[in-house]
Amino acid sequence: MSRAAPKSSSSRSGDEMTFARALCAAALLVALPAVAEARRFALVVGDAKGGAGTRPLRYAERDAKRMHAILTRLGGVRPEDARLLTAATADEVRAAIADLSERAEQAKARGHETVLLVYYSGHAKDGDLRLGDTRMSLFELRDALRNAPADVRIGLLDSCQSGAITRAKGVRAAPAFDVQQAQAASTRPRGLVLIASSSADEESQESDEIGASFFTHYLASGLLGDADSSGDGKVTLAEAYTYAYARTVGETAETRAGAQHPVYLYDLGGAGDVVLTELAPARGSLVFPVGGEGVYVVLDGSRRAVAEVAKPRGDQRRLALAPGDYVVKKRDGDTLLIGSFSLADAPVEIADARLSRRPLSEDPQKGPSGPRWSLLATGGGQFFFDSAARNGLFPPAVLAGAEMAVRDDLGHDLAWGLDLSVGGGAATLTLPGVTPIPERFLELTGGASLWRDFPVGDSFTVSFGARVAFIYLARTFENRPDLPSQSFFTLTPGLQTAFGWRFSERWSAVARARVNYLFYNVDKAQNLGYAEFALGVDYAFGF
Amino acid sequence: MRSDSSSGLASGIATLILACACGNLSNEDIAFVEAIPQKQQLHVQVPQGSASQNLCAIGPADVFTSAKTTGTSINAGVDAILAMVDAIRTVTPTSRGDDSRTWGPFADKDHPDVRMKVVMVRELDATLRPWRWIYTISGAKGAGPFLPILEGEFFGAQARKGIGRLALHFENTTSLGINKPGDPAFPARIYYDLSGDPRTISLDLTAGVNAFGLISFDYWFAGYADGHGQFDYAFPDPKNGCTIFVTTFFNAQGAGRDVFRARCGLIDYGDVKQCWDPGGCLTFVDDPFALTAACLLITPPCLLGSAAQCPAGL
Repeated sequence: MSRAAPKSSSSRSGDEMTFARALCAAALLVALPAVAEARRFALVVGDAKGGAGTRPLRYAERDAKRMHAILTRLGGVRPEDARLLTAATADEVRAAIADLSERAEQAKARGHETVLLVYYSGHAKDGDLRLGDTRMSLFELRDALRNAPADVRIGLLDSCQSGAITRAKGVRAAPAFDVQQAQAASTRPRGLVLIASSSADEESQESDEIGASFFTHYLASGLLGDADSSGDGKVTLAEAYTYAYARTVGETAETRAGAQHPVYLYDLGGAGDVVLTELAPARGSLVFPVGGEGVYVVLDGSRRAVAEVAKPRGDQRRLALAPGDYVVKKRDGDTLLIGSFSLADAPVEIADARLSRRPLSEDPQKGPSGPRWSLLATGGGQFFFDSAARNGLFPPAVLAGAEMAVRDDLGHDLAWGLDLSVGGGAATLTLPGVTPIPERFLELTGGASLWRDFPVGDSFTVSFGARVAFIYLARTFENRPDLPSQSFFTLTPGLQTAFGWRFSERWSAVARARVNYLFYNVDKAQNLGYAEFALGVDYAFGF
Repeated sequence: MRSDSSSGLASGIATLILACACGNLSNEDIAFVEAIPQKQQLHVQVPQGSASQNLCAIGPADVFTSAKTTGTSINAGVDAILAMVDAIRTVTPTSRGDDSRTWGPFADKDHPDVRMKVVMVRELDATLRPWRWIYTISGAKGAGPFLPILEGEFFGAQARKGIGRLALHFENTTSLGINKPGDPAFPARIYYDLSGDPRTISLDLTAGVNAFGLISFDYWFAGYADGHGQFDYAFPDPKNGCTIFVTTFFNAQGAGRDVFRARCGLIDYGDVKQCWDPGGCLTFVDDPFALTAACLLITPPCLLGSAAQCPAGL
């Protein structure tokens, strides 16, 4: 029943996986069918914003929606027993916990085995969950779960430093639950389990490639079936955690932030493990037969990753996905194996032979927001430093422009943009002994920029970067048709800085300054410099 | 993973910048062009006055009418030459020096076998301000040498208010085959002083005969800012074979007076004095020889109208 780790780079996780598999197997021997008679309640919270000092998360809300869908479809949570909160306040979370606790108590009174699961994806810092501008202590959440009347209370936290919630119990980073105590008991499981995506001093990382946080992505993949190491069609809490732990550690081992280690607090009495999802009730499924080997990524219709299967040869895996159209891809050396499948009620077998080989450049996968696009409209001016150059050649100009920017495309906090501005003005050409000649000029300038954003608090950003632009300037002389129209075109490299203030979710006010070099060579070779100043508003697309 | 090719990018950008700086945005080009006179700046401007001469009591001012016709003729001749100069204004120099500009050589659009070239040079004074501009338009036929067609010299910074001269080498336009019907076959020279009031223009046709329908003569025009002026010219009178030498004075409204002499063979007849009103009608004639058309039926001396009718101040 071995499972291949997604990457061999993490020997630590590999060792722990061996231990984990043994524990899982032991747990499964005594696992009880908790779903059958249980009444399950789930609070799923996703909040991209964490208030002052944090940057908006890109996938927190999507992660929450994904977990909500899995829990209500496969996790035995009735839709009326599930709460999905996005952009909620701490009081709303408290109210939802209280409401579900009350409902659990009522169900328990009617003789149901009850489970209360709270999933949170969002910011956590300094021991608090950050829900927008409100906060909720990790220990408050832990105590709320501990005191909830449900038989089993499960907390799943995908947030930075969330492992602090388990600190009071002397948590240890480990791949699987220690269920030996549970094996000895004769009753059904009761108690509290807390699982955090990272330890108390680690960051929980999001991935643009998979379009989710690492932990939730692998937890979700596991719940959909890839964690069913026993092959019994049920994914237990131990299986899900073990799977999510191994995949998260393995996939984050080489990230800039370093390996991320999920942790848990286990305070579960009774016997057996808790089944989180049952694959059998699902209408259809993707079946990965024994002959296949490798990591299969399943994309939905919008080409976003919805699950992964890390499959060793000799095992069969099954993903209980909702009916729909999917693309399955697997990297094979320097090529991709890709296939499209429509999933309805019947199982669909995903064999390598049914996948077609494509170059890596045709990878259809996209992050849900991947690169973040935005459009900036600006108004400003341009000023050449050399006074002689300002005399008719390059007079101070008024410019209006737009810039399409793409952030996090080339790297974290890196952005590139393409801009175009048009402007002009009126000036007077003064030549020795010549009556001043009025002129009108038109300017067109555009360029490509590369810069890095430096967040300052939650709402402010300072950026520095470089730009290569073209500038085209044409002038005509008013009331002097005898004088020729003139124009000039060149490329101008430069530096730029900007200050942004995000005053709403999508809108920001931006002040930008640029300094450019211009080589002028008509009258004589001259090295000129000019500055551009602009104010604008930026609109962020996507998310 | 993305490769770092910053050094290659930087060198590429530098090359692009040097290669892509192009255009004709130049203050100095404007300075050169401003030193070249325009056609209208060298025009003889005689007021048109009224055309209702049929109602004249004494008779039409024929001499003044002749002055207007003569001015138009001179203007047309100047325009034909300066059209080449005007063409320079719309063309970007082929090469630029610190104090020179060169246009061409390029084929003449009307004469493909003729190549034209313009060279313009300026001289700076001690304060590095331009004080003299010298320009030459020359043409070459086939592989032949370049012959000067127009040579100009200008003192000042702006032709519209400076002093200069032009030499129009009609003898070379003729040899190049680019002359126009009616052009003289000898050099003509224009001197102009547009630096004050009046502005004066002089056309020197003394190098030959029968240019623009005029005789060899140094034609002289002075125009004042308020519109009045003086125009001296001479023309052959086909009716009697005499040559008429005319000095006209006119105001902005077209009224004026003239003094002319008729040289018939070796005998000069004059001076004949005339005045006319803005309608082009004679108001006074003092013609000792009855040369004026209105005096044909009068025994000399012919005295018509009153000198008091002559416009004041001329």
